[in-house]
Amino acid sequence: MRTLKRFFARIRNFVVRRCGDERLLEELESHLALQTEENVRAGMSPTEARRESILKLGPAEPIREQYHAEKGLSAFENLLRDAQYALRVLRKSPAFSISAILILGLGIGANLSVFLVLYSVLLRPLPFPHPHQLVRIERSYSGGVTVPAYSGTKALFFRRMNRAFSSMTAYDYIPSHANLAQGDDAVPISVLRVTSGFFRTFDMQPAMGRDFAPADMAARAPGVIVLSDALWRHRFNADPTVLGKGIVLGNRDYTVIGVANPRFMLDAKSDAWIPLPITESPEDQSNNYNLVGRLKPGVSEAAAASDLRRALLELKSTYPNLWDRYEGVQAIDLHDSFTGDLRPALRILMGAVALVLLIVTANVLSLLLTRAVTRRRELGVRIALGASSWRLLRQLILENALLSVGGGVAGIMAAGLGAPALTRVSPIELPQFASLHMGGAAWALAGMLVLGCGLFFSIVPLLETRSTQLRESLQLNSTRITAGRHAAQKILVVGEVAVSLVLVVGAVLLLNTYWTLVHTPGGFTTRNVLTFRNSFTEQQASTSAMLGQHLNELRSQIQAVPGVASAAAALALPTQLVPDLPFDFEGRNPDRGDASGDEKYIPITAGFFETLQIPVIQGRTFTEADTRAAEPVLIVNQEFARTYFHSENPVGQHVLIGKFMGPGFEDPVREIVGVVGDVKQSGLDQPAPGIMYLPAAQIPDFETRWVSAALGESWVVRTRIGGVDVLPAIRQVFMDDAHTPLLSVEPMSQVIGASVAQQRFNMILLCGFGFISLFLGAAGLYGVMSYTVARQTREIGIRMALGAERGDIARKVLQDAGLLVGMGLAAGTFAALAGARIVSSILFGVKPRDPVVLAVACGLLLVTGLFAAWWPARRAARVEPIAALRRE
Amino acid sequence: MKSKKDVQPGTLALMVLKTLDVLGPLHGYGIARRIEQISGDLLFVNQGTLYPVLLRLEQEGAVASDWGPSENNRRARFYRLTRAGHKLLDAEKRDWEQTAAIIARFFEVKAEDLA
Repeated sequence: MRTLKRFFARIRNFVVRRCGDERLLEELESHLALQTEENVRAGMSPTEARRESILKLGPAEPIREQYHAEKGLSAFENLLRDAQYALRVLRKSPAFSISAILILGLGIGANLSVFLVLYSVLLRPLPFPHPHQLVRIERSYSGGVTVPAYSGTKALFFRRMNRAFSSMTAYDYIPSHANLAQGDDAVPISVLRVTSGFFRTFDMQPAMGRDFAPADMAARAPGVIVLSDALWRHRFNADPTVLGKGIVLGNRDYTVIGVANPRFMLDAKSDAWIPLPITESPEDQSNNYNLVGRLKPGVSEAAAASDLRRALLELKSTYPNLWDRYEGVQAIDLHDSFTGDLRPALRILMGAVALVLLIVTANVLSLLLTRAVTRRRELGVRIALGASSWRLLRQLILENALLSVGGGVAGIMAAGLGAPALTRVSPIELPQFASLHMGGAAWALAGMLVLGCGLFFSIVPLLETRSTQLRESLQLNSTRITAGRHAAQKILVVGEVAVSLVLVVGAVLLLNTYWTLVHTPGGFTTRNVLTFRNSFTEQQASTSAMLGQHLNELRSQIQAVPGVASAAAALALPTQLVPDLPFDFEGRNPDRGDASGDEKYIPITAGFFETLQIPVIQGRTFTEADTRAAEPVLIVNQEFARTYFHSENPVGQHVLIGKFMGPGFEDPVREIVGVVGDVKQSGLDQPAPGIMYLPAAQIPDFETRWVSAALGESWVVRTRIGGVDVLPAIRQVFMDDAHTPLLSVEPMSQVIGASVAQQRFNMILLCGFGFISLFLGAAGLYGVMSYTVARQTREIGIRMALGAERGDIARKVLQDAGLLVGMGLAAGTFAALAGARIVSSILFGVKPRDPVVLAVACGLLLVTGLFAAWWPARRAARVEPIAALRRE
Repeated sequence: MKSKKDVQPGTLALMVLKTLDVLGPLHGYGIARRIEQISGDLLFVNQGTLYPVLLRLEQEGAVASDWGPSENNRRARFYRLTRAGHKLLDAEKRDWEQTAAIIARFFEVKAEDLA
């Protein structure tokens, strides 16, 4: 208690810098006066009396010092003084300080940026209470294949039968888009249809209003809607009385029953939630819903999965048609299911960026070593003047600490700019819940990096103060470097080259991956193909026949625009998400394994294959004559034909789609009239799936309504020559004939670009890291070679005096540099080969140990290294022998 | 010649406290003087060392100080014991007596007592 009080008093004194000297002096003065008077009374002469009293008081300076020491925080004051001195030293060599701080800032900033992304995506728990209780339920098949989509019936059945979950909810696999009517304006928003208890499952009740109740789910129930916090703020001006108000979405009326908690975020953004009216039916094969459950406390994912397997067995007796003996079930952590495909890439990027930091520290360490040599004389002088080696060590460590802190500050600023830029520049799709704010964890990492760097760099002063011998350091010529220290620098350079090689190999591998991917034939052309979306009003799309007619009219209008070669519409573009629908083959025994299936379902107009130049292998394509009134037809792709027809001829076979999907999905038996080439519908890095193409005019009306409300219509337009701007004319066509604007206008190549965004992100980042490491490695080599040359100036002079050619001298320097780079490359090659396995998961079309890649990377480093050594070599070759010999 | 002893570290604070306890508020010189007198001039107080001690005691809250007129009408800083100072003195006194008693016992012990 007493010490605490005293400590605070000291801090107070220190902070206000109260100078107590006056008080002490006055007290001492009064003391002396009193003593002198007494001495005079005792019979001394005034001078004598004064002298005696001063003697008795004792030496003034130690008293003052002691008084001071009692008063403030002397140790801290010393530290501050050291810091001031260190700042002055750093300011005195700005080139060194700035480059060290910038390099460190680069390393720390890059690490923080990647960490921010990694943390926000993978490490920060989902924003719900007890997030680890949340699991996604997936269908699993042999061979580790999992499919997350469930049919409504199974979802409801699981919800009814399980014992492991406290709550379960199903919601749309593909969110729908709808126009929110506001006055005369209509705002497109994304809407997720969800079952009752949706918000309860996530344990995050709406901030205002209520969750969906079972009564809201009835097919004829009045429409109710929960708004997202963002929508409520931006479109309803955060109206506190919004509950109970009516809004129009599409053509339906909804009553607002809630506003979601602002922290409610899933992987994809939703502006509003509406009821999902599903009921159990014995033939429901529509796998269109996510199924998420909250585990009861203490129940593990494995236990939940076995509980669901039990439920699945009961399904066999309740809905025998829905039971599939190959279908298993598993429950996986919801967070993992959101981020599963980002995980390996982000981990690898974090590893790569850590390697960058390694190079950065090696580089700064090398700078410090170089600098220490030039400072040896200064240290010698300070020792000669009586500085203890502890004091010197403290001083030097403080300098390094200041450098590290400067680097840390620069790094934090870089990350503040870098992390958002990282996500903006590259079109990687982060889950919605990921926000890139510097949180506690990022600050902690920044602190740790700064502390780590500071401690690591303290190696140099430790070595220096231990080995600095007074006499030697004063005698030593500062241009001469002890061999040991120089060897350390060379080792650092070798290490830098090795690590750089690993990063450059990674960068080249990913570049290769990306290149291969974008050049993977998708099965269609992207040349001169323009795409856009539009959405029809509910009235325009009330029946398929009517929609088909609209589509055909618009198509012919577009094709009449000068410069347009062909145009077509489809439910979705290649590489975009499309639904899977179940089907059965006419005339096949249902007991046979291939009597039914479940494949991609894409309604299209005539001209689709022609516009995208998808080859027709067999039979015919759709024409405008394939209307509702005509024979029901179907075109499949080669993968479909391979899977279900083997050697049979698919053309002429009959297929019934969505047989038991319930009212609205009734479809006539269709005849397969053609087989077309495969399209990589699931993404360029995925194998081409089986696809069924249907004439948009022939699909069930209910589906047309649902699909056009959910996705709108996507269009592809191929122009005759590139660069012709046909858009204004097309816009006009749509405004005049359909009264709808065009949405998301982009060339087909960009659509594909979005499907390889992840690979592009990896590639860009690793190329960035590779470039940084190449640069830093080169800078390190340059530094070391420059020093070597400076150190050997005399030797070079002597050699030249003895007849060496300038070319020989330059060659010698380049050889030395080449040796260092060579050793680094050897070590790096070894490391790259050893680490190859780690990156294999994010590669496509290239082997992780590809010798060509390795050779290219080595070549790149060698060239860069020799380039960096070129200047020192030239300087060496230009040494004037006479000047060099005179120099000391 | 009688040799004068230096003040043992830590005891000076105790002496200051006791002096203030007995004599009431005093200025630094007064305290120094009393300590000298009470110790029978056996202690050589390098009187200046008193002031850092006084400062420490003040920072600990054991004494408080104010400027006031001295006997010769100069300005002097007068120190007085605070309530905390009284407590501190009591505690220190007990400690000291205990220590002294233990030491005394050690000196009194004879070989036969331990047999």
